[in-house]
Amino acid sequence: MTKSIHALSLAGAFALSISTVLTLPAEAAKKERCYGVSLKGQNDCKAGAGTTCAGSSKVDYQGDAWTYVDAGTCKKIKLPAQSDGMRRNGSLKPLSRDPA
Amino acid sequence: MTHQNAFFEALMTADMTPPDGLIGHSDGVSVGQRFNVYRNNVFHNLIEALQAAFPLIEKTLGAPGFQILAKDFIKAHLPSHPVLYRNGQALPDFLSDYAPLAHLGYLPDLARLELAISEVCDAPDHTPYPAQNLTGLTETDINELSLELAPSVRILGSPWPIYMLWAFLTDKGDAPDMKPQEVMVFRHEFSPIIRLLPPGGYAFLEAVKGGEPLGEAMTIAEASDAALSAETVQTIFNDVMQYALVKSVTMKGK
Repeated sequence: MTKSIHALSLAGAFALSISTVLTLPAEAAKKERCYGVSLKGQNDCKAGAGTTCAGSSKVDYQGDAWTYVDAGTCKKIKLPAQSDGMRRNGSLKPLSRDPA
Repeated sequence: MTHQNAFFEALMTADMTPPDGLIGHSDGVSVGQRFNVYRNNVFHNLIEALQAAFPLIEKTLGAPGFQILAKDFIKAHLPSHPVLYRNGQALPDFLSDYAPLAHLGYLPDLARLELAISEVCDAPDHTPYPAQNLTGLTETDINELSLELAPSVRILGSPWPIYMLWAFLTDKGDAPDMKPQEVMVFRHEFSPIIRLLPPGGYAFLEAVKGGEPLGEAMTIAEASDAALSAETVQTIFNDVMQYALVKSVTMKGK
């Protein structure tokens, strides 16, 4: 008897997880790499063989470090200006500002 | 061989006079000084490789403490693999026996977690099994279904609050309560993801990874952890499906 109850919850949980993932709009899952927006030590990583570069950026908003953000939002991220007053924006390509 | 042995011994021993027969530039810098630079570079590079692989151990100990640990570790475990992070593979066990840090009992498991994070980043890609093929299964089908999970999926259990330690040290959570915790680590696209496993989740995933059909895995997990609940199983299935961690499936007897 116990077993059939568990069978039900197992099957229900399994089916629910699948129906949830199938109804997610594909767009919601899309991410883009955004350069120049990561806080120090919190960047994501493309993880080439033998590297662990996630979390390796040395300064805030390092230009060649990136973070995954929702697609279409990278350039809109608000960032503080640089010390010389120049504006900071996120970029889909690596930047030369804020070097490591 | 004796030349190599003497060279090696001098390399590993701070301030030791270099072996006979070494020649340097005749620019006033002694062979001993040059050898010190070389020795320093060798250790510096190996320490940097360990720093890159174990940033949270370094954060816990502070940079000077980590340097001491790293030097002691490197002397006991010389590089054995061209992939740099793997040279830290023995660090968890080394920490278990390392008297100066015996008061930080959670360090070995924290190192195991960091090693797992490096491993999942390095794990092969997989083609996810299409979720739509798993709709419309009967209860019996699901009970008898075995899932082959993505190669990156790792599980790690600890008598220490391993998840809270990770969250605290990466500025994602408060100071840990001292309680046992279990985690699942995997790679999604290019990023490692660390998930806290609810009670019974470790035993369930261990059975699933071992190839047990889901019904059997549930029975095994219930036997090993009375706290296993429907919510635990739901949480795990949700992550497995959301991150497309199923590589292939087999049905018992088919």
